[in-house]
Amino acid sequence: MNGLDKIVWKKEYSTVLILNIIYVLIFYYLMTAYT
Amino acid sequence: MGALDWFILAGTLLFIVVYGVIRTRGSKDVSDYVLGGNEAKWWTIGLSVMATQASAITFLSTPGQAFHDGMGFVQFYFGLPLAMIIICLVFVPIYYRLNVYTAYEFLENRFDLKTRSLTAILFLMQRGLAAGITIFAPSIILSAVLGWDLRLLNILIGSLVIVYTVSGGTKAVSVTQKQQMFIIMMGMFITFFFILGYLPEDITFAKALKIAGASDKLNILDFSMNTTSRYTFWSGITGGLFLAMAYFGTDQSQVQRYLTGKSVRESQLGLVFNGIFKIPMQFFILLVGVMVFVFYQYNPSPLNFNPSATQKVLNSGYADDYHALEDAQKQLEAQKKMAQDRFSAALELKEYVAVEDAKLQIIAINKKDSTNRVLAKSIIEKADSSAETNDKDYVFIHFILHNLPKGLIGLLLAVILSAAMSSTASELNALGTVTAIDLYKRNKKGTFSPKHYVNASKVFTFLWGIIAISIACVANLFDNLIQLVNIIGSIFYGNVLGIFLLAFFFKFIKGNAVFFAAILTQILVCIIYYNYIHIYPSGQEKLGYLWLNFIGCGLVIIMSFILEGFDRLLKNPPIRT
Repeated sequence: MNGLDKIVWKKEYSTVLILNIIYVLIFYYLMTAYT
Repeated sequence: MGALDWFILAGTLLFIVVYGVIRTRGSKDVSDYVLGGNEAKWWTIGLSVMATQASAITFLSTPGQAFHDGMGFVQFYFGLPLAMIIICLVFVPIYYRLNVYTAYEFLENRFDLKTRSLTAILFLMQRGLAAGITIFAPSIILSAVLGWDLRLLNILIGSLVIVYTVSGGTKAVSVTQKQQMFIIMMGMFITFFFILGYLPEDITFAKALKIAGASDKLNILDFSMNTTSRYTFWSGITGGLFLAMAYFGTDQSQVQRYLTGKSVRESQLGLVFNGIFKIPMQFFILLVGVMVFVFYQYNPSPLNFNPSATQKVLNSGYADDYHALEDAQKQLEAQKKMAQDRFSAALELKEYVAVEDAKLQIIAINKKDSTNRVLAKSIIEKADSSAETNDKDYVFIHFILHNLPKGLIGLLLAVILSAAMSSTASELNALGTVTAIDLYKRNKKGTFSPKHYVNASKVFTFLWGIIAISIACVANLFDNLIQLVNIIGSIFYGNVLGIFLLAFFFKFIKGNAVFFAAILTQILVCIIYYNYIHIYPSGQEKLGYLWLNFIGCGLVIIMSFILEGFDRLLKNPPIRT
């Protein structure tokens, strides 16, 4: 009772994941291009 | 500070307080006061969540962190977006379905009253202390660099927050945090462009990045599995995820921000907003620090940015040693400027052999620079062993006060004080709410009017404000209090997160098992802390205190399983044949 029943994935969560992967790629580019 | 700075600083702070009070007067009932009438849109929630986490230390310390150690600190936040998604998927729907005011109210629904009260009290102890430090930390820095009275600053920050937080409750916290975030980001952006403007004419932004890169300041990602490195990609993804889940999912100062949403969707979008913008924001603040580093490649900087530490050594018998080191540093700075000019010219002419040559020279000079700064610290320590030699928190404020034009200094001080106020407001609001809802309303017998509970919430918020100011005023009597607060947080956080994870994911675990497991866990965590951390001198501990979070969470889950198993076995013993 009152615990987790079901998980509903929404497209904005995918957006969060994709954007943050892009951030890491940008960081990797900055690291390699400017050092 | 000139008259214009004072005008901008006082005007900004007063505007926030008056706006917060006028916009949010007259809460009718507890829902109105504690959850802002559930009217908040996603962008208000997102900004409020970000403003709560970003305290004054974020804006004072983070640029200094980048100045000394580069941008690797951003990896600490890599687990946060994942935590936001998990909280959106699991925590938010459950809190909304049960229509709770506090996170701990859910625990009574799921387990029992004693588990709710235990977690509420753990939260009050930890967050009450942290609220005092949120006020104290910027006060000690500003009092050191500006010569303002420390106690007066504590009382000023605390009182301003009390005025609008007590008056308007959660709604006042949210509306003022929008203004505060606007001022904070505007101030940081203006400063960033001013720093770029202060660099020599031929140094473009791209060249500035190259200069920072040549000094290892752009080593953003560390994929090594080295557990002794404080910030790596893997520790950010794992430890950062764990900490962010505990903080955003179970700490009422954050939970209350997204429970103000108009709907589940608005709350989830608010957290998504945080998941999208948190890493770029931290990256930008670190980038400001890196640009300050590039600025000081062409301009003189003190050996130690903490003016009170420098003053202590200059007033001691070690003044001559320190002056000699300062002279050596001046010569080094001249060499540094020449090497940077050579590097920049070689880049311009695309003479890559000369670029590499200049880079090697810069690395060698920076090594000497670091050695000089370490020597300066050791001289300060010899002069006064109690002096704070770590000057990371003072780098950015030193740059602000010595380089920015009149007016902008006032704005940047408003940024720092706004950040202190926004975090403190959320903390006092949550402390008042948990005391009023989880302890007072739940245990008070009799029927009272909605207004009675609003007034009770106001009184408790006010009292927590006074407690926070009092803690801030005595904080400098303790050594390394900020670290102490982090340790106390780590002692409790893991246990509380474990209780919530049991509540969400293991429906067969009941209240008694969790309650006794939580108490046993807390005792064991305290024993582990004492035997592996407390008895060892600083820096020689057998266990990093952040591990207490993992241990607490793991222990409470395992012990709840064991106790639940025993309980079931005693109730339903196996039939003997």
